[in-house]
Amino acid sequence: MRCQRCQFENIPGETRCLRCGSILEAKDVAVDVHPPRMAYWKKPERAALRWLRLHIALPEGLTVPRVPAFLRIMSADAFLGLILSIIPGLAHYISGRFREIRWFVLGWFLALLAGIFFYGGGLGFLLLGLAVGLHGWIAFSYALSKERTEISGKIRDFAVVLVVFAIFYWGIRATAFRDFVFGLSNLAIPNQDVQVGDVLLARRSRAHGGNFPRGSLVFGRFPQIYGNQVMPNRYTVSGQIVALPGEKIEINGGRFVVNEKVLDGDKFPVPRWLSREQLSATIPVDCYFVSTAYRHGGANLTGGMMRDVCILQKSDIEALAVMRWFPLAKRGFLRADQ
Amino acid sequence: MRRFSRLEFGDRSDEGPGKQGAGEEMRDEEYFHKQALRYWFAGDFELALRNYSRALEQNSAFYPGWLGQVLMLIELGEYKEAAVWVDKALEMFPEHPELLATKAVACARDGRLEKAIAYSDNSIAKDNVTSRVWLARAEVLLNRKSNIAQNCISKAVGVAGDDGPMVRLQAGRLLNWKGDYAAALQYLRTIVDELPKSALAWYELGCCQAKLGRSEAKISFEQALKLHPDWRPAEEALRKVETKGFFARLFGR
Repeated sequence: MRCQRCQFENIPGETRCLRCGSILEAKDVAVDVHPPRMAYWKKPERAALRWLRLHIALPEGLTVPRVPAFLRIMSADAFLGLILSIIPGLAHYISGRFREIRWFVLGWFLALLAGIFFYGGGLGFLLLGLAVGLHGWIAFSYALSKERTEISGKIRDFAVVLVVFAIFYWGIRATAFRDFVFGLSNLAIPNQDVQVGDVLLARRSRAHGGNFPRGSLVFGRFPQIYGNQVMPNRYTVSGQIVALPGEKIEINGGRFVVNEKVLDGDKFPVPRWLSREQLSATIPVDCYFVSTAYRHGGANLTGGMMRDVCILQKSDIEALAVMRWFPLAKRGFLRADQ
Repeated sequence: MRRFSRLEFGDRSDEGPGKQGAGEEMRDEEYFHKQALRYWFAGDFELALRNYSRALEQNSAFYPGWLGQVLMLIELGEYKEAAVWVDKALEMFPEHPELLATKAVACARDGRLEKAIAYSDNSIAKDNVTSRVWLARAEVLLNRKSNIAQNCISKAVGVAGDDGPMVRLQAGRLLNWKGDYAAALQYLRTIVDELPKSALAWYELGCCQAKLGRSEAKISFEQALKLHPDWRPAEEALRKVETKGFFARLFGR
């Protein structure tokens, strides 16, 4: 206990200073009387840990791991904060500021989910754009927004962040989801509830070395007819597998006949351009007969030309359609045996 | 005069809260303690906690304030915070058996049973073991499904003294929480006679009756709501009782 008069350090409990004899007054120590409180969002986490401790004998000392101190220090840097914000809200969470942007994170998540659901349409792109914007704002608000004071600088920085995140999202689409492709159907197949113009979702990986069942919808690279010639340059359009390798196909009375068996017109509709001429062919090994709609532009079609267009090698089949994507009312999985 | 006989439940319409006769009651730690107890009996643990804090603002060495804060944190389900706060209280009141017992309760409710039994052992080994220590012991033992928990409750009620109603209420709540509804009902019935203005007692009684499939549960919840209007747990419990079918009532759950 230090004497206020002579600054002599006395033994605790003394009432008078040993050196100068002045009265020693205990310094009032402020005691914090307000208890710590639990954040309401921690309740489920605590309840889960408690349940685990009680029911599966989790070690009593186990808690949710805390963020290491060095990570907290690192995240204070604007650039590192931006990198950490690739996972929306991570930098804020590490620095204990998640509460600031929790609604933005929720909004981002909902916009992303809705954007994926409506992907392929205008609304989908709008929602994904909103998700990118919110993500950019979350990252920008972490540290960059405080580094600039002037509005123009803030706008410029935010624009840069937005561009970076837009490229990031595009990169994810181009890498992680490259297996998925969207395309329009050019055939109306009543049995599969597919109309001309419906958007189909297809997977590339399903086409690799696969044996396609009859009736499945695919995206293949079909050769084009110019004048009276079939040209080698190819365009990707949709079609339906009608005949498998080694089978004999004919078109008779507006129906496909495969190995002398007439196929159901609802399941295997014959496009108008194929019914104009006689067609008869045996499908070579590793090839499929894929029916597709075709605008021939008044060319003099022959059976041979039709054969050349419709008989595709396995390697020319790019993707197998798995879902009707748009219109929304018809969204569902496609089944070749329907 | 007994301790709880002076509690006010806001039924004195001629006087505002805290007023007594001609002058206003001095707002010292005792006043806020009384307010906190009032809110506690009304089942408003958040306000009770606030009043305990205010009591400590008046006098930071006021022991019931520290204990009350910890108890309210436990009531609010903030067990970790309660454990932190009881450690702080133990700095001021070292080795206090009631604080050690309360820490045992916080640990037990947080699923840390080994720690709970250790703190309970420590508290029971001290001198001047109070009813709260026995109640905490009973709770820890009930968590371990021990048969002697009932003896601890009896012991707690036996040594309660002036705190009798509160201890019996706590005993009833404890038994209710652990599923011994018949035993809990006995305690709670006497409590609503002793503390007819306690919404918490009526609510606990109602819960107990509802679990036993008794139709009186509705009356108990209504009484609790009359004393503490818009109390969400009581409202929800009443709604559940009202929507319960005949067979659900018959078979209890």
